Amino acid sequence: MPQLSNTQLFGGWGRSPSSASALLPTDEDPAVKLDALAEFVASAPDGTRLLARGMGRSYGDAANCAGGYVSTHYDFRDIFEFNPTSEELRASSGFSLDEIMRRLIPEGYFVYVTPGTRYVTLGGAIAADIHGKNHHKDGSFINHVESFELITPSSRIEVNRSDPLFWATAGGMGMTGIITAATIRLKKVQTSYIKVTTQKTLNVSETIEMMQRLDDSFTYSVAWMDSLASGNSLGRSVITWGEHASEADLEPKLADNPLSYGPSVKLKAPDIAPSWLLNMASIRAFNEAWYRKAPKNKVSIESIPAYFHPLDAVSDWNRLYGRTGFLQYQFQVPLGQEETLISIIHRFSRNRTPSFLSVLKRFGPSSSGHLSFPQPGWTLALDIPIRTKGLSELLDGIDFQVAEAGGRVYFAKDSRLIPELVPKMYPRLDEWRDVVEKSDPKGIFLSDLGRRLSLRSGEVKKASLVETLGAAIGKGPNL
Amino acid sequence: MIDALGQPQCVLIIGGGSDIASALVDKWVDMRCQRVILAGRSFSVMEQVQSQLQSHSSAKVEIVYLDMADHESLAPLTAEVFERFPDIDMAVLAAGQLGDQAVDETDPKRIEQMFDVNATGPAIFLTACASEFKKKGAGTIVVLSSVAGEKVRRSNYVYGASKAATDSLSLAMSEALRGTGVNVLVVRPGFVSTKMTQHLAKAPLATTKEKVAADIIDALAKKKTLIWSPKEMRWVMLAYKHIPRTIARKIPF
Ligand SMILES: Cc1cc2nc3c(=O)[nH]c(=O)nc-3n(C[C@H](O)[C@H](O)[C@H](O)COP(=O)(O)OP(=O)(O)OC[C@H]3O[C@@H](n4cnc5c(N)ncnc54)[C@H](O)[C@@H]3O)c2cc1C
Repeated sequence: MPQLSNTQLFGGWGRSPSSASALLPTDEDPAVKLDALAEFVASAPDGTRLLARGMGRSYGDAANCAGGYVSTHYDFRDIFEFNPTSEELRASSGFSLDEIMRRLIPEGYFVYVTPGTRYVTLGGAIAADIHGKNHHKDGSFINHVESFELITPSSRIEVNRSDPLFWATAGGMGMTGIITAATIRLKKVQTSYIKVTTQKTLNVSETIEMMQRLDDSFTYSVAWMDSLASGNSLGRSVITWGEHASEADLEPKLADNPLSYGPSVKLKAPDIAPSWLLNMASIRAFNEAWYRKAPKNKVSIESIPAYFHPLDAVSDWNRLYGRTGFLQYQFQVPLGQEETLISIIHRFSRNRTPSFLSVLKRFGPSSSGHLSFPQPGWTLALDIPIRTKGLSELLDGIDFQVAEAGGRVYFAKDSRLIPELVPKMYPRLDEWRDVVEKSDPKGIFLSDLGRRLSLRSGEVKKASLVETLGAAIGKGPNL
Repeated sequence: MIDALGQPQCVLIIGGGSDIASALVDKWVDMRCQRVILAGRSFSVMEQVQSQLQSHSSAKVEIVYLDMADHESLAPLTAEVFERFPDIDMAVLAAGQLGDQAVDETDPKRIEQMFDVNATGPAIFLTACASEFKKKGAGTIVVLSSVAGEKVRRSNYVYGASKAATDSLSLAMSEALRGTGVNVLVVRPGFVSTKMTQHLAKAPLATTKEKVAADIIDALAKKKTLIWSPKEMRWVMLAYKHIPRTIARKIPF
């Protein structure tokens, strides 16, 4: 049985909420360690909780396990085998997409799905079934996973696409067990550059119209939106579409070394930023300047980090929000619910909710993950300082609107969702519970998120509360 | 689990009959709170709070016996409550006894009782509570202190000193608990028009229980460890603490 080495405070990327867990020891021989871990899980006394944690890039409490054990990504780093014939990579779950890219882009291979940061682990990418700018074309991360090894209380097994546990794990936020390694397919690329088409729009209607019309002609598409703009400019955006550049697209200088890849971290945010640094005025000024600076319409060649991971250039940028932290609200509404989307954007704008460059994206077909987030439609993500006045009421109200429209909130970003709405937002929750109940009847793999949202147990039907709150908020001044 | 905006799901209230505490719980049950455990001595008062809560919310409301003056049983009972309700994520200490200086001065028994309920009991309870939360790796303790505990005044020094003990213990405990996942918020309300004070004349900067409750909710979202309510009270107290004694004597309290 692993010793309780040291107890440590863990939080999400938004720095709130946090809780303390005991770190599993990492100093043993990897092979022995995994066996020991499986053994520990199998013989864990009732009430033990354990969770795998990646790089902590989920925003809320998804990777927290209060009072339990946490195994971190340092525990899973022994396998890294790439097979160019099958274009498949077998790697331990603790490797980050950053490491995978550094090793394989120079060989001409790219990951099929990358989120807005490359500092996520393979385990975290599967557990959240993450999406990238190409979701409308290539779907979510799990689409490109062949199989993975999972430690559950009853076994240490290779799980493949025909197993219900595979689909419970994709989007299951670590609550099906510990992924130790996975086999993923990679994408052949000629260069490490992206040919980017930039298009500025005047307002949200134009943004939606353009994305609907043009997204399908590009592999990658995303819109950065000024959520503080109002009136005729409501939802004005800068859309960037992208395509992997061919060698012919590159200027001679770049063509010399078409697969060069060496992103660098240029800045480090200080840990002492006051909580008011990012306030209404500074965020508005930033959004304004950034929108003005963007070209109306242009085609350019950009590096992979510049196009996919611009925020990674400043390490620990989350500290800029100060001690009180921030949260990300990412929701999604189905196709046909454009009116709801616009009404929500309007609500944020009217409430003067400060958010740095909100991100709008169009999703394609869902994966089969029971709790996987994407489904055909629109997703919008906003980073909002916790200090924002009336934030709790505003987001509660929007939760209802999203649920009503058949949409949902992303667990990987969540830190405050109304628990009663989860079954409505995730209609396959019961199916997921059945699978997980079978593999982990004692509820060992239960994160703080899982507890907060009662994901494992079904007793959160407080209809009256939901209705009164809904009615109260519906009538409130924020609507 | 407490969420990013500091909202609890299962709260333990010590001094379930306290006006501020019930105003606070009134708001919480309309937010994320699904279970309230009222702990105290007087079942009849707690039952009133219980039925009042249940009239507008479907949160479960439990009542348990806990006596701040019964020091022997306090720690084991606290542990028992945490075992019975493993989801407790927030504890509010609102039990307290307001003195009557004129009588207190003449009766050593009353002085003892005041310290029993306002200082010794809380010290035992807060320590027990912190250790339970530490095991759980998360939790928040809200301590309803008083500006009277920040600067003890001559007009009610027995009460003031008993509150001062708990106030300083809580602040230091908050520091001691850093890194454990347990947070402490000390709340120093000014003059609150409540049951406890309705016989007294209204002071300037008087506030209401609803306003104090709203300030607490805001402070929890911002992860503060010490607040005054209303917040102007902070500057009043600062000035009060630093004026020379000779002038302070001229202030009529
Ligand atoms: C700047 C930024 C941009 C982002 N952009 C996007 C985006 O565009 N699209 C998107 O989908 N997401 C995005 N995210 C969210 C991020 O991709 C996910 O939260 C991802 O899960 C983080 O991976 P991680 O390794 O940090 O995992 P953690 O945050 O540490 O953990 C996330 C979840 O995965 C589970 N987990 C981790 N490792 C394992 C394992 N080995 N076995 C089982 N479960 C495990 C944890 O228990 C937890 O539930 C972004 C985050 C940031 C900070």
